[in-house]
Amino acid sequence: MVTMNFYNLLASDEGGIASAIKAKLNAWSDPKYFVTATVVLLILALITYRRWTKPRNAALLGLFFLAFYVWSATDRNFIKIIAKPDNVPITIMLVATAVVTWLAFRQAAINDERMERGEPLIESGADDKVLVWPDLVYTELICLILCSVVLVVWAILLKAPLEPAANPTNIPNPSKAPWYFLGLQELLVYFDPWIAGVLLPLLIIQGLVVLPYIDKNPRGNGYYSFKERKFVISVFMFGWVIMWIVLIVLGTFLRGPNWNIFGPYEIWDPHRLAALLNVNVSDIFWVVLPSWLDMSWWKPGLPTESFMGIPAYLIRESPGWILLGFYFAVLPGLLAVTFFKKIYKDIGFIRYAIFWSLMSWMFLVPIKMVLRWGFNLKYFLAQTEWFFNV
Amino acid sequence: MFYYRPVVEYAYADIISLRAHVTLGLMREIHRWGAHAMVIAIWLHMLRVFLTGSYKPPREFNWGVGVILLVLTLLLSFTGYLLPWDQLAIWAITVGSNMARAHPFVGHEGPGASLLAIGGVPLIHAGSDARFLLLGGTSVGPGALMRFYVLHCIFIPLVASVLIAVHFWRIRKDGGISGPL
Repeated sequence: MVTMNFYNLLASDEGGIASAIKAKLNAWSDPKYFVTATVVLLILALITYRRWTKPRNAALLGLFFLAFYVWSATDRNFIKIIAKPDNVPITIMLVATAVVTWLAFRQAAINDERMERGEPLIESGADDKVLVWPDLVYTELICLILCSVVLVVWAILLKAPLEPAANPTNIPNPSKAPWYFLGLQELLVYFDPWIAGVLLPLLIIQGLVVLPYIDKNPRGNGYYSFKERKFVISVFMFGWVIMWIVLIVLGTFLRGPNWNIFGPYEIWDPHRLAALLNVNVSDIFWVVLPSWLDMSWWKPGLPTESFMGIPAYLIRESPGWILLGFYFAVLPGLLAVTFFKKIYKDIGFIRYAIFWSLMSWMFLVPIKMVLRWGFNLKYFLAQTEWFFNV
Repeated sequence: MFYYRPVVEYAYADIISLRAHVTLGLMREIHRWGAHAMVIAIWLHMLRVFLTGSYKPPREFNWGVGVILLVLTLLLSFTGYLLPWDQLAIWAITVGSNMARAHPFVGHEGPGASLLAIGGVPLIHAGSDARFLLLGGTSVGPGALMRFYVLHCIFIPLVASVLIAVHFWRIRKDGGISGPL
């Protein structure tokens, strides 16, 4: 009987504590909790970067994550997702990203402490010149051989996937893009295709290219440091970890048939219904708000008549125009004279304008996601007449 | 490239026969996993370059080259994804290339496309928009397979190799691999 109990404790398929934990985790993987939790964790990690990066703490965190991942892999629904040959790189990416991030922040912590004590940087010792031949070429040869070995072993262990021949009449459900684009595919849930599929990817590329021209902080050039570049690194890590890695995880592990959200340990049931009634800001303003206030002079209903030459559809969307106008134009100005006064002074008007046009779009994405998950918001601005829905 | 024919009739069969006739064949596996590993490696490379502040002057130009190379790597991986011509391939490419028809002005479902018309005749329609240019058709079919093959094997590698040469040359000119300046 003891072995039976022990089995129940560990086996994640049915019964016991394991299934209770899984039910909880399935419930928490609702993106409004899952993504919020990762944001909180990222902020904590950035604040405590000197503590968690200590080798012992980092090793404990890593072991805990690996143990959790291996335990999860005993679940028949989770293993089905991660064992798909083309999803294996995602596991490798998660581990590799964690290791590289740890290494970078560890070295940043050491450098920051050294600078506080007035000691030289870790990288300063690397000044001693070495020769391309044989030193560099030798190192490169070793790396080449090691990479080849890893690839050959990987190739022996895992066959490249080959599904049935292409059939234009048989549409798989869900249809997913290659894993590295799943973060972008996730954006399609919240934005029109021309924003999610064209504008936002282009803004990511543009933002990366202009980064050195906006960030005029001369410190932290060529070595790891967090203390000297706190703001820029925090913004970048938000974009990289949350808006890229977490969305890929969301798109791969949690998006099932009909693009519904499923917990990692849930069966992908294609018949599950997700009743969604998404509402626009204009619906909230013209219909929900008046019926909630219940006043005699303001009857619920979308405006149908033009007023002083302004067409009805513009009056209908005026709350959205005002909201977005405030967000994109007024808010950056307010921040320039208050919270970001110093940054504005340092980088000047044009850089600040480019910087905030990029920041506004980047933060519009999580803002809209949270409002969609929490309040079923469809569009801030649904100017369908002009093909302009945000 | 010697045994694979990028036409709908043969592409899938050629992949099958590669698998069936080559004893202990690993090339396709190495190619596929190497491609995935490349995507992961360049992301982490970018992360390291960012966190060491190595995009700052005088390395800002090389950072820009690197961003373009990052996009090209993703495009290389994306175009290669279609070539086995299996279910995985065409539907992943269908999802991805659908973005092109939503492109403002040059995609037939994008904003502004309906404004581009002469005498009521639309210039941008399903048979003339950006997606048609990419796929050589209105869906992922024979035209798309040929175009992606040429992009994957000739066009993108050519552009990428030139940029890689520039990338390495600039590393030396800008004071070596990310060290303090």
